[in-house]
Amino acid sequence: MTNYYEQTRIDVATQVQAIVTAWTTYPLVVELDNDDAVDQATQTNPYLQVEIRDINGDQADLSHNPLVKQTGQIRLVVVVKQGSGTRRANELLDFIRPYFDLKEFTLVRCHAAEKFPQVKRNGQVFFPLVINYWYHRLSN
Amino acid sequence: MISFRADARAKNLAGIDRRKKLFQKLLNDQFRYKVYAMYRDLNRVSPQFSGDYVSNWELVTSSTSPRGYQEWKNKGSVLVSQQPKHAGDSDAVDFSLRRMYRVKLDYRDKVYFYNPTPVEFTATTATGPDGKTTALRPENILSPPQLLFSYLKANYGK
Repeated sequence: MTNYYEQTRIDVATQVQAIVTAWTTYPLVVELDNDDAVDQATQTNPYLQVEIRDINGDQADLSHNPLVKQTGQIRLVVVVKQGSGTRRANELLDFIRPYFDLKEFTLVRCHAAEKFPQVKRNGQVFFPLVINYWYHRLSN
Repeated sequence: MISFRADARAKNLAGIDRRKKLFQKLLNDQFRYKVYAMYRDLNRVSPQFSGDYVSNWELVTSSTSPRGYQEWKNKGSVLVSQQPKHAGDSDAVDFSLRRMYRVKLDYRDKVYFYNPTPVEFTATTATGPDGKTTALRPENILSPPQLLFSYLKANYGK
């Protein structure tokens, strides 16, 4: 395998696609792949924003083609309108979590998902779920 | 015979002492390597606007006291005076790392990562290089220290 960075995106996108397909309560809108799918002003249902952040890469051994340990974070944020309660956000977060929690994909391996306190801004409430990940790649 | 035994015993003790010191040195090296790596990650990934936040990261041990907040001043460099900066921009990171290398670390110390910058992460919009203002993506509104410490915990915590 040589396309490590794209494979990271594919691993995450596949899971997100599975979530969108399986979530039947309302059509789930997702912002992924650096796109602007959501107009925050007109969006009424909770929506999901996904971001992949590569944070570090360290050489892991001393061979001729050494292993490199790449680490990063998958940041999933459920956004709901302020004043609409936390139930809908929690339901969506509960639905999403098993798709990433301690999972291993084609390349990416996930730590346990961490839910952080919500943040309120501009009439919206952001519910973050953060998954630290890592994978090993060969330098070539 | 007795003197020979005493001599051998003294040699043994000296050998144990030498190995103990070597072991302590290895422990210290490993400890320093880990702490420096964590601190470097913290600095490299922290968000920047003026560089103030990153330049105020501090490595505090149980035997040193924090220096407190100090405003990050322009030192005449063109790069330093450019705003907004981005995570990883080297001026403030280098400034903070230079201070890190001055901290003497011992593996028996407790180590704290400390940042007293009076900053509130409340921005919801950002102005790009083209002058257009756009709404920040939700993930950019999350608290940076929380994200950073979650990353450190996952990668260095075990």
